[in-house]
Amino acid sequence: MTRCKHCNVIVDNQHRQCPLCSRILDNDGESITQYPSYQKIYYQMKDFSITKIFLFLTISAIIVLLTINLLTIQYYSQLWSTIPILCLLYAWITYKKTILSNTHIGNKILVQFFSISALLLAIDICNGFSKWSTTYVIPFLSIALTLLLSIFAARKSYWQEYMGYLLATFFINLSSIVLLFFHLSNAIWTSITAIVYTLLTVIGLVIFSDRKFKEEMKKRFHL
Amino acid sequence: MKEEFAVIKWYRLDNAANLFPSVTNIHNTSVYRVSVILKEQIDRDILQKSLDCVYHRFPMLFVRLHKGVFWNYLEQNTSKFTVEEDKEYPCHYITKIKGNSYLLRVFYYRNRISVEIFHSLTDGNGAIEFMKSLLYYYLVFSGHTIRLDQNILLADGGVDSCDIEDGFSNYYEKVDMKPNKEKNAYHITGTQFENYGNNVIHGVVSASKLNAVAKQKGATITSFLSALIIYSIYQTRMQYSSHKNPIVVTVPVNLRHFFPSKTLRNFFGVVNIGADITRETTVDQIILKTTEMLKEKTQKENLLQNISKNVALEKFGAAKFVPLFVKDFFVNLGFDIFGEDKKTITLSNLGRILIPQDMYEYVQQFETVLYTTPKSPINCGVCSTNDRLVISFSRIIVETDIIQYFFSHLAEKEGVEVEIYSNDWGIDYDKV
Repeated sequence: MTRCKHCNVIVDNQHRQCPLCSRILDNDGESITQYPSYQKIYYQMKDFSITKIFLFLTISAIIVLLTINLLTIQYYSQLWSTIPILCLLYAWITYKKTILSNTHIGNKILVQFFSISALLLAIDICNGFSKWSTTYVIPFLSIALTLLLSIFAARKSYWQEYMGYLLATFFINLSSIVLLFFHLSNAIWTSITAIVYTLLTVIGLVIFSDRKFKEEMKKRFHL
Repeated sequence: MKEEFAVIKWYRLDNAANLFPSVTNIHNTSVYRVSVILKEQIDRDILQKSLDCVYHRFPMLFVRLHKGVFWNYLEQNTSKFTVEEDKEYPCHYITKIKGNSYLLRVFYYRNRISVEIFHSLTDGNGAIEFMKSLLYYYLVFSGHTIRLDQNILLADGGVDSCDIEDGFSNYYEKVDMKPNKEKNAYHITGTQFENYGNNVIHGVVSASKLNAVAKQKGATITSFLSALIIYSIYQTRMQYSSHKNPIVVTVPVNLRHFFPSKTLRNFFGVVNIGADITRETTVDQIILKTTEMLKEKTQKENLLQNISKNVALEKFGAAKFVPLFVKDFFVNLGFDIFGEDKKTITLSNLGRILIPQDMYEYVQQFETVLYTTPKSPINCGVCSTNDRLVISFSRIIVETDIIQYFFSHLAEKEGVEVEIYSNDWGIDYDKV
């Protein structure tokens, strides 16, 4: 322990320089108040990373595709570049939100559902919007979503954590009634099938485990 | 693989705890640290064994945060809890805050055991009770005999409802609200470290000496240190500038001293003591002012105002039906307008930590480190045991002028010897 003459304080042994004024001190050792060295952490915090490389490559690919499309628009008047661009965006969402992310699997499945629906809907729109995505893809994806969540939930003895997601799916399916109202779908039976399937799942949930269901409602809504 | 937990316990967040999940991010982690430095090096296996022992005595601490539709809530965490070696800067962000991670961390490095807690779980008082129990079992499993002449929460003591009650709701009374007419406070600015993180400088003084000096000036340790901080900020930053805002120190107050409660959750209020300083103001004048303000604002009626203001918002009927993301937005706004804008720096004094007499032989000192925020880049934590009082400044800016002035003044003008050490985060000694 040495005194820093400038600050007039005693400085513990591990410091070669005064933490207050940075002047050099005569200390040479270690002490019990020592903290770990952060060199490794600094190194990990450095700017260079794989994610940033991929980000740069993806953005470059998007800009290049768009440029080529616009430059050749007079020869080929479709905006074909939107399809590979949307696929790249989907790849990014999958990378960040599904592979890298630490959230619950239910959350990941929901995000995948939304992104795949959005991707296929966009491709449909870019190709003349013959409504195949809204008629067939989205309703059947919803059924798959509910089924997948049910399977995951059934595997665990603590299935309640999936309840929020199952309820969300139910409301998503209900909202597909909107599709019918705006004539965005070519056939009613697909959306109705999806709604009925999810409704049956929720009813089954309420009937077969009604005490646990009530407990979950209390938790989530603080009733 | 089927899990063994048939019933998973869950807890509502207490009134103060509701704030933190909404405002927490990497620059405002809401994680604070309480550490103890022992005279012998820490044995990892004994520490893990002690932790496994106290785990079931503090179930409200070993939880994960779950996002509900209208409220967040805490749920028992069923994964294994392990102690880790200290590697990162103190009070760094818990990344999986809304995922599966624990909201509490126990670190060890050389002679130091550190407990880092997300503020939604408990306040400084609760953290200390946990640390005391952990430390007690650590020393006992290390082969030392410790007689229980002080209150320690033992592992075989059951958890009763007093431990998890919401003190705020308990003492809530409908009172007439006095309007809040505080001015915006002065904010400290500086150059951020190249690598973002908390640099901590600790200053150790004799608790009895500091107490004597404070008493001589008619102050308590808290009001004395607050005054000194205000004076240091003025002398280093405001003296020659055109800023006219008051320097305000936020002091968290343990409400258990005024409203009896055994709760191990949050039960604290914050009191703002500030001063408009001029060049002619002396340190002693500031000390008188802070002492008077602290005394007045910790009168029971004023503290009740504090409690009521917060609980009223939560109990407001319609709040039950406002979705969480909307609540988050307003909480954030309120936090800025009524919280961050109105203060310069936080000074949290956890007071004397009372441990059994036999422990003094093995304990060097305790430390408490607060988290920083963008508008409050320097914060101060104080605690003491066995005549060693440790004042810890955490900062995210390079400049040490305020802290240097503070300690030098203490050493030279008040005659209190100071011993300094730091974690040296962000300091590149080749460049300095």
